[in-house]
Amino acid sequence: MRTSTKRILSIGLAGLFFIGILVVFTSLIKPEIDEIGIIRGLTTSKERLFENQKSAVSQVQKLIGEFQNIAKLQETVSLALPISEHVTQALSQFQSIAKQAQINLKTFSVRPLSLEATKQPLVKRLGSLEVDLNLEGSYANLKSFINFLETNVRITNITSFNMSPAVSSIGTNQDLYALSLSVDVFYQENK
Amino acid sequence: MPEPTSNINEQFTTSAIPVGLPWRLLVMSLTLFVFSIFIYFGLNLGYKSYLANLDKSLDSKIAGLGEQVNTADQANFINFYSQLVNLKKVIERHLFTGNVFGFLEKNTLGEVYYIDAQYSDDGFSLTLKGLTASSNVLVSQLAIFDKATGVDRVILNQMNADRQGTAFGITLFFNQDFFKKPTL
Repeated sequence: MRTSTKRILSIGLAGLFFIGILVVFTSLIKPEIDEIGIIRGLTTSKERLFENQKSAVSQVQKLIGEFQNIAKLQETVSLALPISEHVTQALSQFQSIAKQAQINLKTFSVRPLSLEATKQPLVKRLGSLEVDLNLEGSYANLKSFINFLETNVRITNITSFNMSPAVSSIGTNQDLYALSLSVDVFYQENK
Repeated sequence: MPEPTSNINEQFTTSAIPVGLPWRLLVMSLTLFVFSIFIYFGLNLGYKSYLANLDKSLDSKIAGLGEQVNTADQANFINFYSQLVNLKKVIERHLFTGNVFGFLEKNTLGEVYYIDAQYSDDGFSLTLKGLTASSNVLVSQLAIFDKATGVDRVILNQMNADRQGTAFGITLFFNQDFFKKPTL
């Protein structure tokens, strides 16, 4: 082969290789680098997430450990604000209070009110029951009943009451009054 | 005539141009080409797969973190936290309505008798119906209510005087603070 042909061939091949390098860089290496950049970003954010989650989990485990030591406190809190309606518990408490105050619990009716929405994360909705009570007793005993009711372990709010002499005492000087009470008792939804 | 020292061919041949430069160029371009291919496969099969493995391992580690906390404990803890937040809300709202009994006992004249009392937490109002010996007593009673602490305003709804006495209807509006602490 002639020298000039060899030279031209060498230059031509070198040119082809340079073009090949450009093609490899633009169509293979560059997209690969872009893709790797995205994967690296994702991996870095996952690493950060993992570190944050790890620290959160250790804090939660610590809190749960402490919480298991205060199980009694949770029992007390559940008496003040039970999880779910616990209507029977409310009725039993009202009966006990009426007995303690020596008054007659004549009627008891319950109406569930709508749950209150909450904006705080993890906090469940607060529910309340509207309880209507009709009672009869002496003035001092009815007053004691209200006092016991307002200091009861299950938090109870009196929304309205009506007190007047009992029908059987009208026209007599008997110390007997009728008390119609409307109270709200609270609970936390169980979901 | 002297004989030529070299042949004709030698006399007409120009000096050979060296082919080293194009040859080196070819070798260099080939090396760079191979190197670029090597970089591509290095990125694709080496670094990218390393990152993919790292990503997978992070995913499994993150998923494993959730299993470290017992679901039942987690639910119990959330319930307890929620109960505390709600309990605080309920306690802040808790009022001692029974305070009105102590108030009436302390601020009622001896000649005034109540026959009906209606309380509503909507406006913290207490509507009283009763009897007094005379309208003068009723006026004195209203003056006492007006001056009493905890009362926002007093309204005389109705008054009806006859020989037997004066029947009246009064509405007392209390301040909310009046119900904050128990006085019974």
